[in-house]
Amino acid sequence: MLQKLFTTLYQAVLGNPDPASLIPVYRQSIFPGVGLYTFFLALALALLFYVVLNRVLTTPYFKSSHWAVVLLLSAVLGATIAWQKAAADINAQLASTGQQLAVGEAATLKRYLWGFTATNALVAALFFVLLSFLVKSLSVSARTTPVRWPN
Amino acid sequence: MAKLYIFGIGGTGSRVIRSLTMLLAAGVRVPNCDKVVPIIIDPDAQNGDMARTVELLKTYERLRKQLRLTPDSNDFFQTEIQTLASMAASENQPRDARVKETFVYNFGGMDESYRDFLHYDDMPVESRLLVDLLFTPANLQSKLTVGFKGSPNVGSVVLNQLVSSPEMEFFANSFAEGDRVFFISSIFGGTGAAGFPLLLKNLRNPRTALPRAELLNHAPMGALSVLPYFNLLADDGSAIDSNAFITKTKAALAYYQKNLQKLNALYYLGDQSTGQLANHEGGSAQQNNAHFIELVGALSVLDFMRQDTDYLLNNQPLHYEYGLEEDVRQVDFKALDPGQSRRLVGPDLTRLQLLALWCRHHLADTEQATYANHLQLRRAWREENFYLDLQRFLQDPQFGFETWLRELNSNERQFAPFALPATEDLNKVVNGQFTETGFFNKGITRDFVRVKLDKAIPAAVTGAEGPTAFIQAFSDVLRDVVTEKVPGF
Amino acid sequence: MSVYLKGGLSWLAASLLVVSGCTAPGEGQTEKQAPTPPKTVAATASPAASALKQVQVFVDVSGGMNGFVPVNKPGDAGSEFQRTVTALLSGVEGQTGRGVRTSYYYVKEATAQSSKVLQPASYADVSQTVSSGIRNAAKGSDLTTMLREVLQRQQAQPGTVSIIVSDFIYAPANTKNVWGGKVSADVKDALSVADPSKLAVSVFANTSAFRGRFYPGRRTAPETLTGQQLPYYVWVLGPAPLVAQVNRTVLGSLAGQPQVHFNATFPTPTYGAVTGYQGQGGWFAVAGPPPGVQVTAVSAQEPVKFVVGFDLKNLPQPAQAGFQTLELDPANTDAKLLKTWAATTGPAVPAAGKSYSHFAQVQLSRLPSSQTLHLRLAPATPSWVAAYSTTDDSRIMQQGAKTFLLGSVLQGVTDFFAGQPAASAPLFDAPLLVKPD
Repeated sequence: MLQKLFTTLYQAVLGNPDPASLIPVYRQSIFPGVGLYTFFLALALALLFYVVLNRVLTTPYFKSSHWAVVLLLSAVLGATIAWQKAAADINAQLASTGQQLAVGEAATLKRYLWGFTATNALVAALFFVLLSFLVKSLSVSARTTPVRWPN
Repeated sequence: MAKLYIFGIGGTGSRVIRSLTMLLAAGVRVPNCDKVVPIIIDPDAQNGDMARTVELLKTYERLRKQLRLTPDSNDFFQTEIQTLASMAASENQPRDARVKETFVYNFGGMDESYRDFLHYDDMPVESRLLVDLLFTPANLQSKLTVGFKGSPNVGSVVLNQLVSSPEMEFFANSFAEGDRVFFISSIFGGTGAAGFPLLLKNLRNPRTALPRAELLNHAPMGALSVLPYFNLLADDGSAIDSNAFITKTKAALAYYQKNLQKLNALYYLGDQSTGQLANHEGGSAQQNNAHFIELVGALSVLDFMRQDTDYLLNNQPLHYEYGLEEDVRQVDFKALDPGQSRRLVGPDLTRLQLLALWCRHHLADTEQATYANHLQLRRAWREENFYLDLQRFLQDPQFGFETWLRELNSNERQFAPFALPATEDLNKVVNGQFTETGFFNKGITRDFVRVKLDKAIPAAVTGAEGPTAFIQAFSDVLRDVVTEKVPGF
Repeated sequence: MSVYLKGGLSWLAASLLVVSGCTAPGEGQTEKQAPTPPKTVAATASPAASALKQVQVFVDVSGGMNGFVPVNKPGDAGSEFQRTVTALLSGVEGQTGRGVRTSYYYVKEATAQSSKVLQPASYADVSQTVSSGIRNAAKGSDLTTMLREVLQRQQAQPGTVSIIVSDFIYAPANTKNVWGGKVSADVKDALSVADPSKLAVSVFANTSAFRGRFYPGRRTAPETLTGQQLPYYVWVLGPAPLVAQVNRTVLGSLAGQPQVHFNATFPTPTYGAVTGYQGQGGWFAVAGPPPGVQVTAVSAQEPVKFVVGFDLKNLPQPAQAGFQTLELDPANTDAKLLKTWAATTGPAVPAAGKSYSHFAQVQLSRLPSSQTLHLRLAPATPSWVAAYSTTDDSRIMQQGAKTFLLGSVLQGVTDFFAGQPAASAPLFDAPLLVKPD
């Protein structure tokens, strides 16, 4: 179910993975894996900002500009996760099947991976925003960052 | 709902009421009372001190009207201050259109000369001769617009009209069981020295025409008489000569000794003066810097209220004086007696100073904090009347709290409890009582206070509740801050 | 801009630099790691080895067989017959180690004393006979009687496989019964002792040098041969899975020989689409069951080509050789089989296809919905039977390696199994599920 969810999410933006022979790797391993890691990354960053920095500790990092920095960080880390996991999984698959990619296929693969990386940066940012709204009521000093609703 | 009626007579009355208002703003509890009704009696309608005090009182009243504080706590602006006229609204009395909505007794703009006031020209010869005996030609010629210029003999005649005024009638009507009256005047001035005994005599007169004479006759009444504490520069053009202050004091005291009847408590305050103020006869230029004595005068009001009614009524007359713990020219909290005064005003004034510092230096930088967002402070601080009034109360260059502290700090017996000019460092607020800081303990930092404020206002507050939430949060948080972090109280 | 935002942006720039330096997969690979075997569909369960309980070997010791078993001087190579049959006997005897009973018999003619043509013997005895010659050779053996008795003996014990080594020259005494249709009918009757649905017969042909007297099936004058090649046959009879097992294990050396299998069924071989091998277009392999292909984009301009690999090691060699007769049933698509090849003769096979022995390339340009294609291999009709068969073996030296009426004999076997489903069924039917993404 998680597989379907993330596959639908990523394919809605990127379309079917290219080259087609790697589609099973993407659908079974990369999309759900990266999706889940990204979700937990966003959750960890949200908890870091709202609970650690603004409840457990007393820091001056409660403003919207600080939140924006963490949002940016989530996008960067999301992109990194996507690239690392996708490259690793694809390399493992190619090694285990001994498949050699044609030159054209290698180019489309690279292009798709870049698209996936960029998309996951957006996905990470999106998750961070959504989880911010869920988590912010746990905060003391950042309850109203970046906006007051729903607190 | 016991009330305290304060008659502040003359310039000194205004100035003591000013200090008292600051103490009430700091949250100092007035025992046995929920409401203070100041009535300022000063024929000099332009008096600078009075104008300042009236502005301050109006601001306080406006602020207080927007707050719904828990009774018996000690938040900022805990005690209500109201005009006499607005007593109608709270007591469900019919409003009297003749009583103006103001803190000042309206003398009706006396711009005639004393001579015309007495209808000198219509007097029979015998009376005229008596008048010539009692009053100098200068007295007779002087215009009454600026008070009595240090001549109590003039004042004692003119102020008689007070008693039959609609204000007094209204006052008597709204007087209830448990209410108290306090008179503040200077013994050496003109208005004060004359007015106080006059009023007292009339209120205690069993045959007075005022309603509720029974109540008035037996209510606890106290008075503060301020002895000389400043000199004026010699000025030949002025009718006021400060060299004569002592003489006049002695004369007044002699009168009091024999003729002050039925006063429950009398407070004397004075100080050896070394400072010299500019000689202004009256008008808007009569605007003296706040003096420490006035603050002590405010303490006398609190002390009066602290006594039980029975104690006051059965032990008259009680006489009080005041002594510092140390006779220093620079008074800070440590110079106050630890048993009473320091405990009474120290923490609360510190709290108010912290509020003033916060509003000036730290509020803008925490506009995105949770507490500010919940109060919508970003917008409200610049637009809503309550916050504008609060800023005026604290920061107005004429009558504000910060100005008051500066004046006290620059006067001859300097009252300098706080490090001035104030900086944004919240650890260095109270002189001699700086907060300790160390590697792990940063003392009172902006974040420290901010987090406490965030915890005090955890949910959004709708418009009408905003001011109350603001005041309650700051009162609680700053009280905790003072208790935890400021040593020596 | 606040210091925090500035810090965040420079951090972002640094990260982008790092990320752009990463190489994409599929390029710059300097070494391949050891390929792990890919998942393929498991073949249907192989027959339980424990079902084989007994192997019976019957060796024809009629006079005509003597030519195959000359006496050898020390160091001689021995005849092909000797080599093969000795290895076969040894292989059979080796089965005893796995709990299989073995028994050996001579096939001789029926005499007045005993109508039984099968004479029990020991392994040593039979082995000795093959090695150094037949003592007391029988005059001749009757093919049909031999078959009948072998089958009777076989029925007595379930899980039994019988191996008959003989020249299978049909030479009954009454020459009037030696015409084509009668011969087939006789053989069919002989086999009718058994239930055809529970029997399978494998026939392997081999030739060996023959030295000695050859008695033609036509009952004409014997000829003396001096080492010419003559055929002899090994028949394996028994339940189909056990026959297949014995063929694989004991008769491995005859795998390349002309052979024909009657009523033999084989498990569907392991098969599946091979990723990254001679493919084209938007598709990817799906494991199944059944194995299949999921197509992401297909059109007439961009058809999809994919290769299906088969592991045919369990099929007899003629079937493997006949792989190019593979048929594709396209169901409701326009799929067509482009070409077939064996692993050894085609392009280099990647790790994903290492477990397959044969490959077939399929092209598809229209796929309206999920369809199941079928790939079927029909059994090869053996063409060698006609070459080995003759109706007149009186002049065998001119004719070469032929057997009298072999065709009719085998026709009889064919007729016996005519009603069985295996007779008309393909060797395997591999369904391939092709569905759109």
